[in-house]
Amino acid sequence: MTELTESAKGPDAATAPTAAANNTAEPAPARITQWGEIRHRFLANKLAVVGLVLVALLFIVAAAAPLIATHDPYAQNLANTLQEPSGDHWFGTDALGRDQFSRIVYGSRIAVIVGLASIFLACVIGCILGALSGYFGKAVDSVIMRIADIFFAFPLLIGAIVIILVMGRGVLPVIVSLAVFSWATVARLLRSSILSVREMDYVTAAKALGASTTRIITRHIMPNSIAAVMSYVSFSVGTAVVAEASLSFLGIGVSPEVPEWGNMISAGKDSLGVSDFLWVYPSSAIVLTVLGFVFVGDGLRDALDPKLR
Amino acid sequence: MRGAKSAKWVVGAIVVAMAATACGGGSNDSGKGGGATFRLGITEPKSIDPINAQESEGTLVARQLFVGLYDVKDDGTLAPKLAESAKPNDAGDEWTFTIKKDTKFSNGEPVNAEAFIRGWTRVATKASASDVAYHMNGIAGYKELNGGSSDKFSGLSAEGDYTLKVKLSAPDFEFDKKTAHPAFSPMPKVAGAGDNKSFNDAPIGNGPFKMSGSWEHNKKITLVRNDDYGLEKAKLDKVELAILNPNSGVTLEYKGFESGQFDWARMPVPQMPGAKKKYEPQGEWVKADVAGINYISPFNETSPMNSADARKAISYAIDRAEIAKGVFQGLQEPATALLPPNFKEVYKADVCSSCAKQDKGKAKEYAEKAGLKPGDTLDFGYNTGAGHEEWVQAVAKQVEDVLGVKVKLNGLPFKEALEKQQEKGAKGIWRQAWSADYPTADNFFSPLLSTNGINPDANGKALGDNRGRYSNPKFDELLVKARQTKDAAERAKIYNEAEKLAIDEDQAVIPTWKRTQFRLVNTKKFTNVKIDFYEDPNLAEIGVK
Repeated sequence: MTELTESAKGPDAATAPTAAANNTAEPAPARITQWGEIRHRFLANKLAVVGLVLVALLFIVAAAAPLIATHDPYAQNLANTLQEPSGDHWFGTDALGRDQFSRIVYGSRIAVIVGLASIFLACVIGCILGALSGYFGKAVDSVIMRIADIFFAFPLLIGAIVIILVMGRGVLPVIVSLAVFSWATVARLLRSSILSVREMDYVTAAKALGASTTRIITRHIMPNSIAAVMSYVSFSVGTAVVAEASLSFLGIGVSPEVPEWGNMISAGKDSLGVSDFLWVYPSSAIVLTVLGFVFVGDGLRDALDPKLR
Repeated sequence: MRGAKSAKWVVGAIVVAMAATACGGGSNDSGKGGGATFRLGITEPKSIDPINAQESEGTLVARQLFVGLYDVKDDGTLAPKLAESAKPNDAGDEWTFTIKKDTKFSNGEPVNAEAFIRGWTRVATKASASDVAYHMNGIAGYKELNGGSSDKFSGLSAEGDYTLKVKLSAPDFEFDKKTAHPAFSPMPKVAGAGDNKSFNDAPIGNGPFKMSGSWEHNKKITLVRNDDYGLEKAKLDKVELAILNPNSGVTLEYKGFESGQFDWARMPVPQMPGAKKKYEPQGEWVKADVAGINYISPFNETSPMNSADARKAISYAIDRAEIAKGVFQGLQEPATALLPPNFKEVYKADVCSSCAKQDKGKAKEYAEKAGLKPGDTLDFGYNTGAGHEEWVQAVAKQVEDVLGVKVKLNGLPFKEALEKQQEKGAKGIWRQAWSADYPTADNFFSPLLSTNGINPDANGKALGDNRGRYSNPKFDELLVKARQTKDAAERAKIYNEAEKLAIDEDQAVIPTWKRTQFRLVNTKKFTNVKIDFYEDPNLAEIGVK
């Protein structure tokens, strides 16, 4: 534990977090910033660090896919189909003779793009509507929350399928459809947190000082309400990765020639017990990715929770 | 052959497997012994009453419960059943069938000409709203009966007890073959109207088997031997048909066979190579080229597929042999004609010159002639979840590599896929498969390639089965001429000419693979088990060891 903290923190912050971590006798002499403390608490959580490593790995693989992949993920070789894993094809080849390892490497790109973009979009929509709803209350609140209720009523996948059938297949429709059915939770979370924050004395003080509504929301309320949303967002990226893979698994996500994990599992599902390498590797990639985001989300929630302070 | 409702479109022509989540089927008390009980798994049929029996599961049961004038042998030739003779007049628009005397329904009612008229009328009556009534649309009086303006089938008449006269609205020297379809079964009086629910679920027929109890929906159907059967009696005592979940039916069948629960099974395609290795040495693996075809249908009316040269370019660009070997693991064979090989009378191999083998040079040459340029986009549609994902990608890649065009794969669930193909102005190419209702070339050519087969509605939506909208008056004329030709050899020549015109010269569609089927059968207990013309087990002929 100590070692982990030692290696992770910056040299100038050396004394302060250690004191806080030990949390024994006197309060720390140096001034501890809020973010410094959050970072420290996060790094003290082993699972969170594991999660961070997994997520970092995912980003590196996605960014450096052409360098890591051993073959062209689209290159078919019909004379070399369904080969067991070997030195040349680490994860074997699929029914069209494509290299599974390279396809999984490239698949991380879609996972990252769809996961981040859909949740970012959901977050933007959710934060704006949630803030308006929480700050103004009354009719605005009612209208926005009833709209949110409507979106809650649709199961994520069913709703996404409808949107994709209208928009057509591809990465963009998948992102949009996942965002459209995820923003409502963000809005809800932010709203409830704002409801308590807006009654705080410092908000009243800001009002008394004549600050504008925009300034109050962006400078005083948002920073203090965003914690709940942040950990949710990290969880959601994992959910979005799974949802995206599910759509492709069902044959309505991205086109089947695109290297994508759900596509690969779908292609391998009938080979259960015959060519298990077809579905085991892409499934593992999804599991590790989701675990990574969940651990990070878990760590963030614990680190951000002011009650632990 | 209107047939937008026809069940013969083959959704999962190559792979019928859909999901792999299956546990090997519940209790197994009938697993051992059971005497001569033949057990197999099917999916819930639409109907087992000939009035609306359509997909292979429904027709399997209907054909055990009823026997009509003819059946089809697995080589596509007719096997006379209750027909002692069938004579067309010289014009070919009136047929006289002599029916075998003194056979009975299992309730004792006689099977005579009246019983046939009763059965056929019951199917074609408007109130029955049968999906298979269109098979009778060549009989005089069909329009009035099916349209509701008459309740008599005016084209049918009985001369004495055992002579059935059929007047047709146009000459058709192959009408006898159509009567092999279960819709043409005789019916006892007790059948009543088409919506007689108790009869629909427990039909009383004249076939080699009869129902034991009623159809237990989504659970099972049990058949027992009909000892009063008027022809050669079945050897099996009993047939148990377990009704499986359609989403995992094929996997359940395979698991059931492995665990000894079933005596006949299909299997998911990826499992086939393994299953073949395991069961072929024991003689439990059977294979048949059946009466169907897998093909690609280009939209003939719209750019870029509105020239024969463009269609030939695509066909030449496909390396069928390589896909058959690499993707299908040698289990499918390239097709070089539209008709299936088991149509012995008319089948000719190598009709389609562009199908013989991949020819990159010719592909490019034809593409250039057609103005199909590198960089152009070609839409390639298919229905999802039916196992087509792999080979369509292989075809797309080959076409891209050879012609330099960009192939855009468009996978849709079956219903949406159908709507997309019917749309006015549909373009590009689609994967298709077709399976025969009866062994006539007309059953392929007329719905799939004739101008009538397009059947557009007021808004230009193509409702017929000619989805590619191929239309050539010369081809239509040949079809009419063939139907009017009495001599079988002469007729076959005309059909060959027609096929050459549509498939080779015009390249209206692009044949890809033959329809080959594989089954596992329990040869430890049973003998003479075969895949019949309709891809079902030949239950009435199976012997017991």
